[in-house]
Amino acid sequence: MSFVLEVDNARISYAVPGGTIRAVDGVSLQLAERETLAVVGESGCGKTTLAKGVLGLEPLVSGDIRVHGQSVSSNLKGLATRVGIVWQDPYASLDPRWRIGRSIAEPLLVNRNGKIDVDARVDEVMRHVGLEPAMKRRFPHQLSGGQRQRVAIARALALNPPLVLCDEPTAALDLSIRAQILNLLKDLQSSLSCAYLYISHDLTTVRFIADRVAVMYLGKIVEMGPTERIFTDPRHPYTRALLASAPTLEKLGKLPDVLPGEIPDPREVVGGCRFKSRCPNRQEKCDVDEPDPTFEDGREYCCHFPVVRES
Amino acid sequence: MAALDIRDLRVSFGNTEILRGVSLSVQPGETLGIVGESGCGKSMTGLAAMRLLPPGGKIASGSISLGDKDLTSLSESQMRKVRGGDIAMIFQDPFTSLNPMMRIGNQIAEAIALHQSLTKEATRKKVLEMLRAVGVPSPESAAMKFPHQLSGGQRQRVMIAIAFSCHPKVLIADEPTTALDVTLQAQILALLKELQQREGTAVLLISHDIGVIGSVSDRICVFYAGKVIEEGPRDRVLQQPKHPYTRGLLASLPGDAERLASIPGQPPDFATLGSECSFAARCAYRFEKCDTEPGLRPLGGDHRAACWLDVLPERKEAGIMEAAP
Repeated sequence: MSFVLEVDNARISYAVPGGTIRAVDGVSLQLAERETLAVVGESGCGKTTLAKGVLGLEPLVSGDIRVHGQSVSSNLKGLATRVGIVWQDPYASLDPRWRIGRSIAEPLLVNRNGKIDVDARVDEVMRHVGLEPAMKRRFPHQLSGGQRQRVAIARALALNPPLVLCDEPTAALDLSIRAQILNLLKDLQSSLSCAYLYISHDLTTVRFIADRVAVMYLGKIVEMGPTERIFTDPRHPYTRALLASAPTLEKLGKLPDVLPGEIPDPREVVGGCRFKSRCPNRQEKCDVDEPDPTFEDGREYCCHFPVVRES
Repeated sequence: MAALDIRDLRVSFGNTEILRGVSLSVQPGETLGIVGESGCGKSMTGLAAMRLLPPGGKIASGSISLGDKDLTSLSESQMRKVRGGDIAMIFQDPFTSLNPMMRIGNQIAEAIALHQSLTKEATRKKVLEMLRAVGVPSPESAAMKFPHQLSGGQRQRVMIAIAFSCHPKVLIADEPTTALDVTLQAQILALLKELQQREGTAVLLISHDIGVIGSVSDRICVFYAGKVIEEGPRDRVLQQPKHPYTRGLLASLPGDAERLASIPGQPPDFATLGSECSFAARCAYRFEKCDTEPGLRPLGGDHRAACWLDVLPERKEAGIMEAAP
C-alpha cells in the first residue's frame, strides 16, 4: 500500500525561557490514500505543531515526515502542490482585499504550470465546492461564514493535492453550516480521492468524518486506531476520559464525568508516563517506565494498565 | 416568584430591532439554557439583563424584573449597585474579561468591596475562601498572581469566584466553557452546578453547544432571529422538538447517519424581516398561515413553540432539509 503521508518518529521542539518544550515528541503515523485520519487532543497536546511539521513550517529536531514519499524538508516549494490546507477561521485566512477568485487562483499562479487554464480551473473548483463561478468577483465580507469556508476549501483543492490538512475547519461555524461543510468534505473526498489529516478537538465531528483517530497528549500519540473502536472501546485512560467529558444528548441532564487536573507544564514532565499526574490507573511502574506502544487488533496504545472493556 | 423575569423585551440598534419581544423567566436554583446560532439574540438578551448593551443598543420596551426591581427603569448609578451584586455575569473568554494589570486577589476584592462593607482583613479572608471554593490550588499564592500566569481553566475559575463573591440571585453565564478544552469544560460545568446548588442561584446559561445545554439545563429556550421560538422542559424540547428550526438544529448534529441533515439557507437579515414567520423562508413545512408570524403556542406540559402547525410530520427533514452539496 502506498502512503500519502508518513511520519517517522518526528520530534519538534521550541526553546522557551526555562527549557525546551518538546511539542511533538516522537510521533509516528501513516495516512493511506483517500483515508481520513483525525488527530484529536486538547490545547497544548501538539496537534497543531504536528500540522506545522507536515507543512514544513517547523523544522524537525529528528525523525522524518514524507508526503508522497518525499521528505518535507527537502522540497518545500514542491510541497505546496502536494498538500492543501484549510484553516479554522476563513475570515482570517482569506485576504479581505482580494476578490475570492484571486484567492482561489493564487496557488495555481504561484505553481504556474503552462498547461493549466487558470480561469477554467477556478470555475471548476468553485463548482466542486458548491459555489457559483459568478461569485468570484465578490470579496470575503460579501459572503457568509459557510461560503467563506467553501472558498478556503476551493483554494486548498485548486492544485488537486493528494493530501489536505484540515485544522479545525468547522470550529468557527454554526451548527447547521457545520453540517453542510462536513457533508461537503466527505463528498469531495470520494469525488476527488484526496486524503485528509483532520485536526480537531470536537469529538462528535471526528466520529462522523474520520476513518481512524489518533489521540495526542503532551506531544505523543497515546492511542490510535479505527474510529468506531476508539469511540466504543477506548483502551487508554486518557481516551476514555476525553470521551466521557464530552456532553452528549444521550446523557440528558447528567453532568459529564470529570477528569481532575490540567495538562502539566511540559517543561516539568520528566520520566515515566506523561499522563500519570491525572491518571486513575496510576501505579508505581508508571512513575518510572514510559510505556511503549502495544499493538492489538488494528490499534495501538501506550499504557501499562489499560482500560478493561466494560461488559 | 421568579428570580429573573423578562417580559416582551425589545432591543434595537438604530431602526433595526434585534430582540423582537423576548419573554423568559428563571426560578431560584433553576438553570435555563438558551441555545441558538450566531446573531439570534441570545447574548444580547444576557447583556440587556445586565444593562450592558453595546453602544447604540437601546431597550425600546418591555420589562426585566429582578425580584421586585424593574431593571429597565433604574438609573445607571442604581444599576451599578445591582450589577455584580444581585445579578452577575461570566463571559466566554476569561482572558479579556479579567484586568491583565491587576493581581487576581485584588480583582476579587474589588468586586467584594463594591457590594459589601467588610474590613480589609475580612475581605482578604473572603478572597481566599472564594478561591478555595472554586478549586484554585494554593489560594494564597494564586491571589498574588496576574491573569497571564494562570491557565485558561484557572482564569475561568477566578471569573466564577468574582461572580459568586457577592452571592448573586441570578447568574448569566454566556458561553462560559466555549474557550476551554473538553476535560476543563466538564470541570467548570460541575463547579458551576455545585455553587449554584449551594447558593440557590438562578442561572441563565447561554451556549451554542446543545450538548452542554442538554447536560446542565432544567428548561430550554431556543432563540431564532431575536425571538424565543420554542421553550419547555429540557427533555421535551430535546427529545420531542416541535419547531422545525429546533428539529433541524438537532438533526444537524453528527449521529449514525452517513450524511448530516441541515437547514437550507441562512438566518434572515433583521432589517428586512416582514410580517411572515421569520423561519418561513427556510422551512420545509411552510403553508399559507406562515405569512403571519406566530407567537408561542402552548403544547401542554409547559412546552411552547412559535409554529402554526399542530403536528409536525415525522422526519421530513431527512429528505427536504438535506444540505446542498
